[in-house]
Amino acid sequence: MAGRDTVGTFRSLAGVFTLAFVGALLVLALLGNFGLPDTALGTALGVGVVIAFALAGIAERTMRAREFHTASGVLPATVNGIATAAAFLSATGIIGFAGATFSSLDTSVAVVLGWSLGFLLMAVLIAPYFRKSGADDVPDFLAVRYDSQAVRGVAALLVAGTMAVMLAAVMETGTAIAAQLFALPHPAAGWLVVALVVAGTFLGGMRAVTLSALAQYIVLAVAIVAPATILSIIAYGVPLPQIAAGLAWQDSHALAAGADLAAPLASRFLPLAATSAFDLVAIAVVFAAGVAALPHLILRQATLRSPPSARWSGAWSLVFVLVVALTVPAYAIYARLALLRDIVGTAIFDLPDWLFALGRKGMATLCGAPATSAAAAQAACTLSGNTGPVAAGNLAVSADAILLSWGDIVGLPYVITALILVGLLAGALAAANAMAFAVAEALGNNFYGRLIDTHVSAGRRLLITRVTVVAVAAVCAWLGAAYADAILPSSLTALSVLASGLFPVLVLATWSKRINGAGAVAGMILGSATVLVVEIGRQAPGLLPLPFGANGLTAVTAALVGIPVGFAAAILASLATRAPTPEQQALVDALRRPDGAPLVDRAAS
Amino acid sequence: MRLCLIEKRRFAIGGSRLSDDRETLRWEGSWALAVGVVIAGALLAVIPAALAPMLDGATVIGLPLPVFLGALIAPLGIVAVLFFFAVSQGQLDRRAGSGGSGD
Repeated sequence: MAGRDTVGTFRSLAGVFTLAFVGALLVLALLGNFGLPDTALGTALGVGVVIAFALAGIAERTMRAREFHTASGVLPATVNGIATAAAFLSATGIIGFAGATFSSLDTSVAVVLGWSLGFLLMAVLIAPYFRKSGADDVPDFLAVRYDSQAVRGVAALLVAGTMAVMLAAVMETGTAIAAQLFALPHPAAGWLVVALVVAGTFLGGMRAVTLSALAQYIVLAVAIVAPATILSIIAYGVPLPQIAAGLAWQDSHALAAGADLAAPLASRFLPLAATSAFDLVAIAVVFAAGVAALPHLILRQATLRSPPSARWSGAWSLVFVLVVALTVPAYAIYARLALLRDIVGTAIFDLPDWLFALGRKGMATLCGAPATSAAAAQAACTLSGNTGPVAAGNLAVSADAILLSWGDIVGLPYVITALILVGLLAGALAAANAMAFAVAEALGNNFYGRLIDTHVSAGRRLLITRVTVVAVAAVCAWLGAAYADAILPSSLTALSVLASGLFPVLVLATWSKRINGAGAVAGMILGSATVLVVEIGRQAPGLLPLPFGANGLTAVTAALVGIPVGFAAAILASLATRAPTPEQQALVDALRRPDGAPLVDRAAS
Repeated sequence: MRLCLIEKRRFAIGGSRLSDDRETLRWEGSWALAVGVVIAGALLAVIPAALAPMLDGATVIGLPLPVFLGALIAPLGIVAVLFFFAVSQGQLDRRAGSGGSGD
């Protein structure tokens, strides 16, 4: 009954929120048409949405451990699918994906295929069995399956370390978006993001994360789908941006036949450089394994009613992810067409202000120099012998600017830019909430509560997890701000580490009875270490001389070595040590059956 | 932590033996289905990625063919495979007498 109430409340609130958001958007668009200043418009939209997110988190406050850790395990597959999609579609990933598409359509194909395959692997190989276990999160699941506290400790540190890097990147992205949307100084925007993450997790745990995520997905989906649809209708009379983008691609191709744009300035969010079929397959494979092992998505499966729900939830998650992921490439294609049509061939002193605003942020160059002003651009072009209007080969725009400045680039009103920024902020907050919760569960609930002090009461463990959420949010926000240039691209390394260190052990947990705790520890350590060694060797050449041409590997392709190493280490170490006891093997049998009670009853602990 | 292993295998009693056989069948079917689904998904994902640099030139609805395949058709194919998996696995669950409803 309580479960039905919870689900009903979630659905009602999501419906009311959707209507309120779309209504507010239409009113603001009208006011913008009647002369409401851009900054007031963006602030009004952003403040309204941010307050709604904070209220959702606070309204779902709870003192019950089960509600805090797993939302009582009562959610249906569709609701969890939406919340999982929201947690996955971080602003860092979406901005980077749009930039990757702008740089190379082939790379974009590999990324979206990797994401799709990752959800398939998670739904088929991992999620139902995780749900059957009754565990709270990934370290808890592995500790129960392998009956080993060493496994719990290593898994908790692995999850906390990788998730903290990703969280820092997402919070820094959210901070940059909030600073642009609200015209705030960077530190103030950073504190705002920390406050919103704490409001979305501290009081209500998974309940609050879930309700916030529903609202955040609605905002994100509207913000991504609506602008591209509007432009598709205006430009081609086709209401499907995925189809109209093909027509825009043809038009841009025709314009670029004479001379194409200069190569985009490299992305800070998703610095992928695919130059061959091998690179593209590597991206698809490593993204698939990494996404399937993302701890903040797997722990969401504990909120579901049953193991079969986890399979359906995986399918629904991918549907909701693809609503956004299949639309984003249209942004890159429209932006490319607009740059070729509206900027190329224009006299430098007639160029729009937004281009120079991008130039001042280091996100646009003309004639090889930052386009900080018309005078600076004119001077740079004169110096290089280009005295006429802008030539295509002299214009380079950052891949990261495509979504952040899309409304300006394609010439739509500011309300569109504000809407996209609000959507991206929603995506950043949804991912940050889920990641902060995953780190707090790994460190507070698992590492401290079930490893260091095993006699601690459930209430005290809950308190420690809450405090850990606050500390993690603050520390990761600081890390992201202080080391932005290093942290943002490190998300890719973290994904590779998860693919190599966690994915093999998660798959083998259910699909092999012979793997034991020693094997799991070896698989996690050696799989992760492979990627880290390659990355350290790449960042500091000479410090770690790498064998067999491994210097040519990247953060992504390193996982192509790390994944087999993780599997081999887990299997070989298990074969070299004692086989799991009959009781442990019976536990794996029970794990594979969708019916029956969970293997561990966390309601009693 | 309370560990409750509910399911126990009993070979001595005829009725339970039948139940165990069904469970074995379900698990083997589940294995084959999972492997098939993963292979189908992997082929859908890897083939367009591998073909992308080789199929330059051909277009569908204006998009280069590998982009059309990889950025529209293959992801939707993977969704279809996933829903097929959920339905088929649910049928196996029901045959083994263990429910199988998603929601």
